[in-house]
Amino acid sequence: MRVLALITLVLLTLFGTTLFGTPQAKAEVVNFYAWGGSPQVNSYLRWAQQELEAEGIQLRHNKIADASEVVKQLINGYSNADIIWINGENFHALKKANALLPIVEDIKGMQHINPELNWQTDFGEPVNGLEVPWGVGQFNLIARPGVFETEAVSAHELLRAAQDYKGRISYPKPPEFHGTTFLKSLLLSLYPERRSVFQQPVASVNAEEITQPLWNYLDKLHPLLWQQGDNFPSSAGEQVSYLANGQLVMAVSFNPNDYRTLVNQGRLPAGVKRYTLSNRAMTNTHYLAVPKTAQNPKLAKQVIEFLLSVQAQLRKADTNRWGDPSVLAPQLLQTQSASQQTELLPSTDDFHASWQSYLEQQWSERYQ
Amino acid sequence: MVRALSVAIKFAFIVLPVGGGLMLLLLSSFSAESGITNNAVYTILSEREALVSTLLVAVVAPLIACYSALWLAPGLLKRPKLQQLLSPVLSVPHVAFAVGLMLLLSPSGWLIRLVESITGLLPFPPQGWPLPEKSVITVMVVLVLKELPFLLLMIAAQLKQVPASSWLTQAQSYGYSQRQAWWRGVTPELLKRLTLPMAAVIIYSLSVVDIPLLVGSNTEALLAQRVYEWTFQFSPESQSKAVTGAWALMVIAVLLLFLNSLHADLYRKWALTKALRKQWSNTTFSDKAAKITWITFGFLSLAIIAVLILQSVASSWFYPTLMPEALSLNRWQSEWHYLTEPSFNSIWLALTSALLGVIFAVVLLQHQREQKQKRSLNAWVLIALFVPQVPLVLGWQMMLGEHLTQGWNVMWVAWSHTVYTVPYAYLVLHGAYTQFDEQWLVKAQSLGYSARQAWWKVMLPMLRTPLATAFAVAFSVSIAQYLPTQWLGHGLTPTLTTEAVSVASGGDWRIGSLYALLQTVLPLVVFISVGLLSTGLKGKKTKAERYADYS
Amino acid sequence: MLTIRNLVIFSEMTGSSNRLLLRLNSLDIKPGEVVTLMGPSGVGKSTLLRWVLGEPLPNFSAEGELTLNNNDIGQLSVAQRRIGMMFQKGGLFPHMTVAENCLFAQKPRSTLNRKAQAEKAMSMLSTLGLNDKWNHYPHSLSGGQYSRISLLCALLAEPKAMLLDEPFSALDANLKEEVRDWTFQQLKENKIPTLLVTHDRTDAHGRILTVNEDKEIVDD
Repeated sequence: MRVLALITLVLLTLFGTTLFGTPQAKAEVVNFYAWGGSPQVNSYLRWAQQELEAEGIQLRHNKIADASEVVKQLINGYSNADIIWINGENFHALKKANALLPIVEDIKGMQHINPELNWQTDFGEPVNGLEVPWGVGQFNLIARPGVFETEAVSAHELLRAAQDYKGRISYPKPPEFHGTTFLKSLLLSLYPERRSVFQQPVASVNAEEITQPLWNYLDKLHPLLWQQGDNFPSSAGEQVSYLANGQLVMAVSFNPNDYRTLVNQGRLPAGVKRYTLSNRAMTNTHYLAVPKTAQNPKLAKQVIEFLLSVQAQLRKADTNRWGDPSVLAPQLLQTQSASQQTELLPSTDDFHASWQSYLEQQWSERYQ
Repeated sequence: MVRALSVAIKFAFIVLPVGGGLMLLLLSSFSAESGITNNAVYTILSEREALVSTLLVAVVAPLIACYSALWLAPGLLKRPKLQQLLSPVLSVPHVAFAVGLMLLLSPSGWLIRLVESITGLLPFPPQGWPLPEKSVITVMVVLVLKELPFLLLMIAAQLKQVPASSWLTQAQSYGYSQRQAWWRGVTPELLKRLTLPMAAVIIYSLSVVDIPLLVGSNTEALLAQRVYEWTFQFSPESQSKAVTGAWALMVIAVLLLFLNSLHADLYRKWALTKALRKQWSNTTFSDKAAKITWITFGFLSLAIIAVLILQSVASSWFYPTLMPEALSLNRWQSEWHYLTEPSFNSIWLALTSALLGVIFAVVLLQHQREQKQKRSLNAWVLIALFVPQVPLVLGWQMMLGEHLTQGWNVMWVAWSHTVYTVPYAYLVLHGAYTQFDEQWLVKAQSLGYSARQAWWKVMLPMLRTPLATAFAVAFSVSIAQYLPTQWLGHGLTPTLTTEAVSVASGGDWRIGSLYALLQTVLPLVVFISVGLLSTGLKGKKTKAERYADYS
Repeated sequence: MLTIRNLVIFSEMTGSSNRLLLRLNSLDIKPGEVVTLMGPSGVGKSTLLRWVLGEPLPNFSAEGELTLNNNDIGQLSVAQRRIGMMFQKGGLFPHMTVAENCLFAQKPRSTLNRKAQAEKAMSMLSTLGLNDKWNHYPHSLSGGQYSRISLLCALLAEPKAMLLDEPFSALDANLKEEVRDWTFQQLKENKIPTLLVTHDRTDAHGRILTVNEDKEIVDD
């Protein structure tokens, strides 16, 4: 009896301290929901937390396994997110649900954004001021030396490599966005002269005719792939692990510096090289957004200002750390340290947004 | 008073949560945006291979686990301390277990690396290896290996309540061999008591998502996996498929539970009527195979923990090296600072919800005993486990409303954990509690104790092993909760699990293993304590107990 | 006939290294005869019974010869020895009906088909007047009914010898005598050599043995 009473007392104490000790809606707290799967991003955000504390802001990095979790909460449930890290289909869904605050006008740091950067469309969808660019993504392949002969890998070259390295090449399964981008890059490689077609809505062109070569190509490619194309890595991160443990000879990434940063972190063996699929890398941006239901939009914007500052962008781009290319104009980023220089790959724009779901659906019908 | 409490508990922790969750599912089933459409139903029904795989996993894996557990269980009779061997596997979170298993047995795993280092025949991971990274077989292997110890634990708890040894002797005096005596005389009763734990295992196998996402096939994905993927794709077609799929899962669950309720009776009929094969097998339970299996199992569980530890301190570790290229404690050191909050939350959430879970389960069971409803279908208490978690938690948010939760998040997270610990505590306790011999209480009362005193002083102490086991299981269930903690907690209650799941989503299992080990520590402590409690600190009976056996 | 020769049992429990528990030079039990072993609790009577039955004795070491109808059964398993038992508690499987218990008891050794087995059990029950309990579970039986049906099941397994360990102690006084007499009569009729262990004088039957100070079993 006494034991039970003691236990209850202890529990009540624990419970009480948690209930009254947690930062409730204290004014300085900003809830940043961001993917937690990269230890480098997590370290970067811990640094940002320390810097912002000096400004009196408590930035909480609420780790999530996938951005779509927050999106689901914002659309169908409740979320106390002040800032979210999103792009692509997640952005599309939130835009459609009218869940985001238009913040671009309010961010002073926007004037320093690289004018060459095509950030006004996100995977083909107009941003309309609803999200702020944070970093640049360029689709690239990372492979063991000797797999590919040229730095720009054409579809033809990929097929040859798949024959030489039978069962050791693959790509993330669409609709994972790396996988879909892989398909788009293949299309560009098969149709280099028709680049402009893909900027138009899929319904306005003869999509079936245009994409047929892609499916023919994949029909030839899949039997040569890992597990004979019966299964695919479920994410880019998973594929990097397969590259590391020797199952595959190739991985994909949207970070053009991954081939260096991942080796630094011991995630990939030294010697891996970077390649582009087709002669140009599909380039897009990843963003920060503030939901309409944010409790501290003013502070959220302050945090975003910080994250767009030169200091923060330089540190982010540091190839000894995260290595995510900056969105700021290059002249602002002149610095002594070579590791903070980022060279971008030759780039090409993403397709129109409607191609995304078309390609995913077609792929799913044929190969799933 | 028991009745009033029982009703209150049922309402607050079963009806309200499940009703709220289902309400959302119902509403979205009929809404324009995400309602059930013919197209969706057709899509699901036409994925025949996926449905077959799903049923295979949900039926075959639990059955294999069940009969393997029954086959291994006599070892527990002889050497109760073997139960401790189960603790590591029970405590390792499911996904971490799958990862550990893959690190050992996958085509690029340690076993292959060993072969390569000895023979040099495998410069890169072989293809066509029976346990590939992504396949239904791998999912089934993981599930069987994870569910087996759980069922063994349930059997161990029941073996204390059932005079198995004397039944075995009795049957042998009739002419049954030891093995026959076990399967014909003892197993029917055990299976009956295992009905609810098996129900939980079946529901788990049907609705588990994170294991198939990690090691299951993604072109012939299991239904639960598909529903999860559709839920997080935002086109109307995907949403309606998600809703339809959720209902399909629940229908399958009800069907399988019905079949499960027949299982014990069917087995009993077979055991009592089918003729014996008259083989005089004079082997005792030194059945070599069972012994080897126990040893292998023990080895495997320690190996999995060892490989997770190595991963977490590895600077880098590539094929085909047997050891990491370099070891460093950097990762542990840098994470250490940030561990206080999640650890604290994990502990108090698990303690609270496990304790409440056990207490509430006892109230419900006591009420049931008083109603003399021992034989009624009790699976409805498990109903919270059927409903897929996403619509359930979203339904709670809808039901509770934003204003109700704000500021009270912490309490609602604890509540949501309790919704899951109550059914698990209930199913662990059910067999022992309802079959508890009334004679003991009658005897106590004849000695002058009141009914309540008899309950405190006789019944509860005699049930201390099932009670402790229920607590341990409930504890680990709470530790493992991801979605309710994230969504109701709103970032205010990060736990070791929310950290682990999000950190591991990037595929870097070095840091993933670190968090997985942390997730393991707490339940491990609890399971080992429970093991010590039930087998005695020295593993031997007291002198009095031994004399009682043999005089 | 059940024969024991040169039996020595040592206890191997901690705190007593190979302490002698019991000795028995020679014992013959004729078919239908009941031999009673008496002694206070703790002296090792149940251990002796378990040795005869063939149960593993992990805390003891025992040596001796055991023959049944001139066959050495010392190396045989419990099932192969064909020795029946009735202990103080239990005796019937609580999760089976009386019918299922009776059939269960016959299954390993009976050469009859299932229907004949049922009839045999039924007829034995009817001599007790307990037919109506055929489909009942053991918990609905009274103490005396339970004991008798227990013995019935043991007999249905066609044992060649029987061991009884305080089988009547749970019954109340007036019932005891009736059940006791019936039990011994059954054993006599079936010509089964029986070893009975008890601490109650009134339950003793036939030749009585006790344990002397040297831990040897001798005639009383």
